[in-house]
Amino acid sequence: MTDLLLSQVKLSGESQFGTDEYVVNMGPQHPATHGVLRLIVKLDGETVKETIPVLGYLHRSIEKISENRTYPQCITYTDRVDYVSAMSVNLAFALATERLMGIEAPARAQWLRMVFVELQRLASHLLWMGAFAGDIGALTPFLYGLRERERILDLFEMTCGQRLTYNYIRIGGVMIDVLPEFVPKCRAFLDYFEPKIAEYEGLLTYNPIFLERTKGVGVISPEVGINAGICGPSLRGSGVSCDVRKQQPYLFYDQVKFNECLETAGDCWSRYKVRMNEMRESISIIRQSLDRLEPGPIEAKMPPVLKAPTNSEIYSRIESSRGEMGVYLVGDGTAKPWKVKYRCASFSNLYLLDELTRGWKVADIMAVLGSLDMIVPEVDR
Amino acid sequence: MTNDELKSKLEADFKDQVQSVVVTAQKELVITATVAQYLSLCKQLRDKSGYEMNHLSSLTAVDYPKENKITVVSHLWSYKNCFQLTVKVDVDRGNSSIPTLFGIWASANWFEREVFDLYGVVFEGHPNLRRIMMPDDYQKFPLRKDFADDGFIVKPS
Repeated sequence: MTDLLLSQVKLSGESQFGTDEYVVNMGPQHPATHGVLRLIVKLDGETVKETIPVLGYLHRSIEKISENRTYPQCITYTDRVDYVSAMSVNLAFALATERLMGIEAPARAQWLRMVFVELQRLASHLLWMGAFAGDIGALTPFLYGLRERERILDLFEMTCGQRLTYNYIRIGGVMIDVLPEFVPKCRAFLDYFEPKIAEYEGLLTYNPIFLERTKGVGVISPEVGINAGICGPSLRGSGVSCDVRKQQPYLFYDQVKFNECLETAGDCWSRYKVRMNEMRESISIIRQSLDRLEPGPIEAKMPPVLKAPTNSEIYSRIESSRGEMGVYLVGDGTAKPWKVKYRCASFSNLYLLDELTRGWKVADIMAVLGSLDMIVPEVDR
Repeated sequence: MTNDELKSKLEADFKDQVQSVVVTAQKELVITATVAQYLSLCKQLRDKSGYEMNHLSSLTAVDYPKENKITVVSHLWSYKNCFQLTVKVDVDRGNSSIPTLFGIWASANWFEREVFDLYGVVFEGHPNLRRIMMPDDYQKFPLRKDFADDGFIVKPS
């Protein structure tokens, strides 16, 4: 098959270096990209003239498959929508289904969900920090990040037996109650982890090489960011208050104290700083949730077969690790959803990549891509 | 402002520009409009003070083969006023065509490409209406209900 896309890229023939413009394929198997993303990059010397993301290499038609599965079966597929932050997607789908069917999960399940989703945010941000630093040439933070992420995964494994695709947060509650030793272990981890953030920041935040690569690079202005649908930490780096946990509280986020982390510059460094600060807020949320955890049931009373009302629909949003995660469900009176749509943060964040990288050097593509915290399974679904 | 108050405000402000405004059983505010009303309605929802729906959270479509229609569904959010709106427009299944929202929210670009790719809805005035998930030379529209699945989808018994 001829490559339809490559043949469509038009070269202007003008070059400021007196050389020819040329086209380079980054990916789909580039070792430094976050999954199988392909970028067609038009270059003049080392300067980027255009970046065309080509999606679909990881398209598994999860939305189509979900239309042929019952609601509880769909939860398994949500793990694969974003496998670095699977708990968040579990939660997004479970909450949407509960709102669609009028199910209310008991308090203990809600607090447990908050503990696990915030732990997941820590794990996801740690992996992101490592990968982002690795993208721009600093390989050491990756090892530091994975060291602590391992301990979080141990906590997950202790509870639900899985380390990546948990299937833990279910419709109406959670899969299983935590072990008695979970709470002390989780607290011990938080005490151990809190000073480590300062250690990461010591490695990166004011490191001159890191600053050189990220300060002023890939600036998103608030207006452009909102209009282009940027969301989550990437938009908060531009100073826009957009945290779903604050704006449209779900679970018990309105009962815990935490700050929305904002930076104003809108460059790669600001987005980095927002995520580092978010880790501290997550620790505080987990501690407050553990304090409020009281014995009780972990699953709501539900009919054996879950059916949505006829002609019902819901659009439910949560703040996942990467930003706004929306689930749109249409019910038709049967046990299977008529329509499932996942609105993923990575998909809308990636859209601006072309505009952000134009005029920058080819190596800056990786800095911008990394700072948007993009993950391909979520883009392609 | 509750959804019921918003509903009466919407009905007053957009009397002739919408078909219906309803609050669903799931307490969501849903506006239904025709293809002709769609573009100007969205533009006003973004610009009019009191609404300022500056964030297009999601744009997708739902296929209803029995009624021979595809519904294009947009979910709007206002970062300033913190409320959510759903705008629905029905298009014909055989000859589906609807104006693009790209001029109002740039984020519509990829959302609409996805709907075009998977449902075959044509967005008029779209700057780059190409397939996004499937290969460029692919002929079918996978998320339509009558999509012949080529044996890829195994239905659980």
